[in-house]
Amino acid sequence: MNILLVGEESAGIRVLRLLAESCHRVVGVVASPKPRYGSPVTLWNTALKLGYRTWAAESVKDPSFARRIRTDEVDLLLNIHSLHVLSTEVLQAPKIGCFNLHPGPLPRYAGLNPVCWALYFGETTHGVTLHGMTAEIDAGPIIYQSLFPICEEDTGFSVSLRCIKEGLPLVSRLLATLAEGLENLPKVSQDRNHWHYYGRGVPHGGQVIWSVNARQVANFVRACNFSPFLSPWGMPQARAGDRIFSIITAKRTGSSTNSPPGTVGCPDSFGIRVACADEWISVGKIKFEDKLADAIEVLHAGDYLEEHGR
Amino acid sequence: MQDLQTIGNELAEIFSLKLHVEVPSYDADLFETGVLDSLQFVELLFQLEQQFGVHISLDETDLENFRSIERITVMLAGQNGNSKRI
Repeated sequence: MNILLVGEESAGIRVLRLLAESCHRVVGVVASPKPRYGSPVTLWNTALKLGYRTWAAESVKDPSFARRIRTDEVDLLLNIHSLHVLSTEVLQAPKIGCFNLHPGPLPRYAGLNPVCWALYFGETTHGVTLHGMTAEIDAGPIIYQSLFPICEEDTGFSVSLRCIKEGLPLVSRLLATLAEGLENLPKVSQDRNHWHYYGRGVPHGGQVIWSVNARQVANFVRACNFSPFLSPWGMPQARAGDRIFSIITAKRTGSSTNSPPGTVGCPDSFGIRVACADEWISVGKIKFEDKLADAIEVLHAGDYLEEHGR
Repeated sequence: MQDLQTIGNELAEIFSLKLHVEVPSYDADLFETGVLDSLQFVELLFQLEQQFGVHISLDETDLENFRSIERITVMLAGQNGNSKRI
C-alpha cells in the first residue's frame, strides 16, 4: 500500500519507524518543520533522515493538497497525533481512507488532551482508539481499540507513554487487515450518547481549588504531572500569601479534617498536609521561584493557601 | 556483560548521534539541564531497546534512573545479562 503519514510527537516517530520497516511504501510525511518544544528530535527530522519527502503540517488544511495525494496514488492516510483538521477534499483523496490514532477510549474523551481529562475525572481505565476519519473530529467509526487500567500512581506522562505503546500494535493490525482486504476491516459506529469532546481549556484555569474533595485535588495534580517534562496543561498553581508555586506531586492521606480548605497542617512522610473539603492531602514536590523543591521547604503549619480569585 | 565505561560511551554516542544533543558530562542532570525533553526521552527508550536489547517498562522502573548517563549506565549494567527486562 502507498501510505501518507500525517503526524507529530513521539507517536508519529514510532509509527514512521514501523512503516519504514514494513513492506508498504511511505509516500511522504506531513509534519511540523519547527519543533514544538525546541527539541531536535522531531517527526520531520526523522523523515528527512530516512529519506522521505516532507510537507508542512498545515498542508492537510489546503484542499489543493488532495491533488498531490491522488497523483501519488495514496491508499491510506494515517493521522498520528497531528492537531490539524484535514480539509474535506484531503479526507476524500486516499483510495482506502484516512485513519486516526487517538489517545483516548472513544466515544469518550474525544478532542484534546484526553489523557489529562481522564485522570482529572479519576478514571480507572483508559484506552487508545484507531478510527476512521470523518469531517467531524474524533467521531468516525472505531476500527480497533485497546483499553488498559490506570492506577493511582499513574500520571499524565505515564499514561501518555502507555497510549503510544498500546497504539502501535493497532496500526500494525490495521495494515495487516487491509492487506487481506478492505472487507475484513471492522467499523463500529460510535455511540453518540457517550461521545464527549474536550477542548483546549484547563480546569479552573490551572488553579488548585482546595474546597473540593482530596480525591479531586489529587487527580488534578497527577493529570498535570508530566514531570520532569512539560505538561500540556501546565502545572497546577497555588498561592500562600505572596508565594505562588506549582504543585508537582500530591497524594491523599485518608485522614479526615474539619480545618478550612487550604489550611496547611503538619508534615508527614510524603510532604506537608493541606486541608481539602473532606480530608488532608499531602503535597510533596513543588516548583517555587523556578526551582524544584520539597513543599515542606516552602510551606509551614498554619499557612493558608488561598484560592485564586476567591 | 559490557563494563560500565563501554556502556557509558555507547550511551554518549546515542545522545550525540541519535538524539542530537551533547551531554556536558556523564553525571550531568539530563532533566534539570533540559538536555532531555519528552520526545527525546521516548526516543531514548527506543534506542536503548534497539541497542541494548532491553525492554523498559516504565510501570516498573523509576524515572530517576534516567537522570544522567551515569545512572542509565548503572541501570543497564544492573541487568547483569540475566534478564532483559527493566
